[in-house]
Amino acid sequence: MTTASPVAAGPGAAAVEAYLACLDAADHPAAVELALDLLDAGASVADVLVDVVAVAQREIGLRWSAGRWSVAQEHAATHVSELVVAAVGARTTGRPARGHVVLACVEGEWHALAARIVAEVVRAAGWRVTFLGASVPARHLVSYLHQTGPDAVLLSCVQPSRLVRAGRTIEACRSAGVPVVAGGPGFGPDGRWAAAVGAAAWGASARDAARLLETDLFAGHTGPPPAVGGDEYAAVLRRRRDVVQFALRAVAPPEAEADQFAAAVGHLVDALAAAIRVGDPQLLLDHTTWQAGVLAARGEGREPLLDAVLAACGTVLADHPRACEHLRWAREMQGRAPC
Amino acid sequence: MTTIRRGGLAGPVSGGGQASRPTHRRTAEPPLPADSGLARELLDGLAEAVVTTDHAGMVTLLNAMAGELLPELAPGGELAGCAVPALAGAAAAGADTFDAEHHGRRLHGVRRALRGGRFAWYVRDVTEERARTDALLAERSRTTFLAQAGSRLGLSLHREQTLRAAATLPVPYLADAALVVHRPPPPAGDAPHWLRYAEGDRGPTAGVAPAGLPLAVPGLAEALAGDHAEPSPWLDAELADLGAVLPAGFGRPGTVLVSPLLGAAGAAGALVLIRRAGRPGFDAREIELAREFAARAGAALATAELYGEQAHLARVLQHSLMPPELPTIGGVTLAGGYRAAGDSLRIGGDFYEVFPTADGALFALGDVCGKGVGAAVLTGRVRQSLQTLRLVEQRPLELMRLLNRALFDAPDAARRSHFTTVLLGTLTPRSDGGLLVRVAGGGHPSPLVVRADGTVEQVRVGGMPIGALAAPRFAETEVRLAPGEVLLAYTDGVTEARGGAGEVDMFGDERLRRAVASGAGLPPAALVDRVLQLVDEWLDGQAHDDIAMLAVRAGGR
Repeated sequence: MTTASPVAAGPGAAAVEAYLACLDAADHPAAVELALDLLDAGASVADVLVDVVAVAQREIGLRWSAGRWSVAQEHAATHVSELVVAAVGARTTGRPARGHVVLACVEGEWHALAARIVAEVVRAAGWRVTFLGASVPARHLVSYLHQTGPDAVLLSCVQPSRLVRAGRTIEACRSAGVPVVAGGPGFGPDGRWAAAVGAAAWGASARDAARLLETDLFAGHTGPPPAVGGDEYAAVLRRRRDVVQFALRAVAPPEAEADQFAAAVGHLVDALAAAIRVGDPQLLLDHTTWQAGVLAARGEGREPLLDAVLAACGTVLADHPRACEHLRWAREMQGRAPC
Repeated sequence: MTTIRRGGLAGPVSGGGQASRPTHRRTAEPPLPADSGLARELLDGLAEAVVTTDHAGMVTLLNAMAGELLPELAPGGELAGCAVPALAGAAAAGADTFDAEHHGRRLHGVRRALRGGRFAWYVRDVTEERARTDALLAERSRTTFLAQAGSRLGLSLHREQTLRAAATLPVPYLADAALVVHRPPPPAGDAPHWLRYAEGDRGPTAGVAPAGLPLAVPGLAEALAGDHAEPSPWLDAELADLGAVLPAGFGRPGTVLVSPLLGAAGAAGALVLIRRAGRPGFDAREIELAREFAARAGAALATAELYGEQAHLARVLQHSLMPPELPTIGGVTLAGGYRAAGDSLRIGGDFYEVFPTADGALFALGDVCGKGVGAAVLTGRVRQSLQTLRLVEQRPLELMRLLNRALFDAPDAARRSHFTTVLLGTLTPRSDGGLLVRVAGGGHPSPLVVRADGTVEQVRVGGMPIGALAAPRFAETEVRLAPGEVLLAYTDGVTEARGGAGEVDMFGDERLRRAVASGAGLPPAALVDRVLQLVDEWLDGQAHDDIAMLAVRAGGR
């Protein structure tokens, strides 16, 4: 593998621009050719996938959230990148010299491309990698672990609102005797929530994942996970349905938007539970700030909606002191009156 | 003669805490009789040795116990130069306590200052007390070791992981290196394998045992054969020729202890504990502990092996039922999606298949109703029959009738409690880049077509379920896809997924239609992923039935 810094020796901004042009045109043969040419020119799998494909995908995400690209465009571009990752991965041949690693996306998480990139970079570093795909239920993962006995699990989580599920998955892996390396922004800025949910380590990128697997993960990262600060998060999750129905009644969104609205409220409750789980109200605030951004991008006059939802959460969850604290703080920080 | 103060004596004998007793009370007590004989008798009656020194550090007085515990001492000698090194050292350094092993006893001494620069040493024989404490601590650490080993061994159901735990856990507590010799399950050869963990190793190392290994270590061949049920220590390191399996620089083994790992069907392997030459051998309690550990490791290994066999069976079945890799067909782009119902074996009753034909392809998508292994076996039979029958008949309606006959005539009655719904169709690419789809229905949900303008149509096919009725009727219809248009076939796991805000509402036809419409223009794989994602979000973690989808687009990639 190339060890030189990607800026100096790897493919640079020009390659990213050219690749984005391929995505823009949904031209998959051209995108594959570009990636394979970079490999032929001496770039490593990590150089191509991390410094070109992943960078371009981030740009796609920005274009989508800024409303410049449609969902269909984003999906088509992601599909092209998946074909590129597969083509680049096909260049990694030879018997893996190191151990066996299983890679999965936390249940409910459907953006598998980042994980696919990690899979190929780790494979190129000499590991046998099994990628179980997007949205892997914890029980499927654990049954796989018992059947194959890998050295480690790499778990991807992009959205912090999935953190409670990620925690349950990690707990299950630890009780199967397999340590978990966490990856993705879902574990917080710099992975600050990864340890609280029992992960052995956290990596920001595919290169980090390959590096972390080199370290001794086993010391103390299997068996019972670290103690959780109370079980209020579980109590909050049990009221999830009540919150969603109460919010639906309180806000009464138009029929066509009801499903989307209900899903968004559900995610907010997930984020609240995750914030309580890791003891960091910032997690909830990040989520509401992001939702506020999405609402603003979709049209004028939707901002009060978020506050109404937060208020509804507070009403239903009045018996849960930490939930109320987090919600109050989030509302204040969103610039609303305290409840 | 030195006068003895009661307070000074009472302190160390009955514990250090009393030494700080307030002194003012003594003034009220009657004075001691000036009887040196009495004092001597009292001193000699103590269970504690008493040694006093004068201001120059010379020994002035020794009681009877001092004569017994410290026979080297004599009045008039300098204490700092006496033949009890620990006491001499403490006296020279001005220390207040000392501990020593002396004539096979463990001694603990405390010094008290007397008037006029004199000192008294009170020395106790703590041999038994210490032995009891040591035994208690040893027992406690053994219990902790076994508890931790038990929980680590119980974690994994995987054989290799269990073996790793068995080799790692005894180091360094029981041995400097541990070797697990085991016979791997078929299809591995007969040669035993080994797994070693030595102190300082990053992780266990594994290998195939050299031919002579079982004979090189006394008791190993017997333990592997299950003949030898008790662990046996071997002190003669020459007998234990383990160089080949020990890390470089480990040196000659001092003691070796071989314990059988007894599994479900006799010996599953053997645990060899190796101590370096410098370390004391295994005592009776440690042998007992090794036996206990090996028993737990053997039980964990047996569980893992049984699980492995069961999981292998399930995997073979699962493998035959999982959706296949789709073939590449000219002029058609295909994508499949599959989510098994939430059981950990991932065996389902939904299936899809695509077979290339001379002028395109034959596809099938079906749903065997019912759950569990019974439904899974029937699914296997449906797919197997289809595999064979399509060789003689490729017209959808005729193939449907044949398949129905084959299933209905099968000689077991269980099938009648399960019926199967299926779509069978042919894909024929046209010269204009379009696609002719002829599809026969057996009671299956209607497929959807996404037109070039983004509208979504339902393709009504009809027909009755197969394999359960004596005289079912089937139907066939034809659809033409323009280049880029997509046909999506799905099972009712999609539309009957229950979730949403109320958690009991079905995903339903209308929501599916909207989901598909929102994915108009996407490549088939992205469309399938999008629908799967929306259904998954709808379910929101709730249990669901199997979900299968097959998307077909006119025109290649």
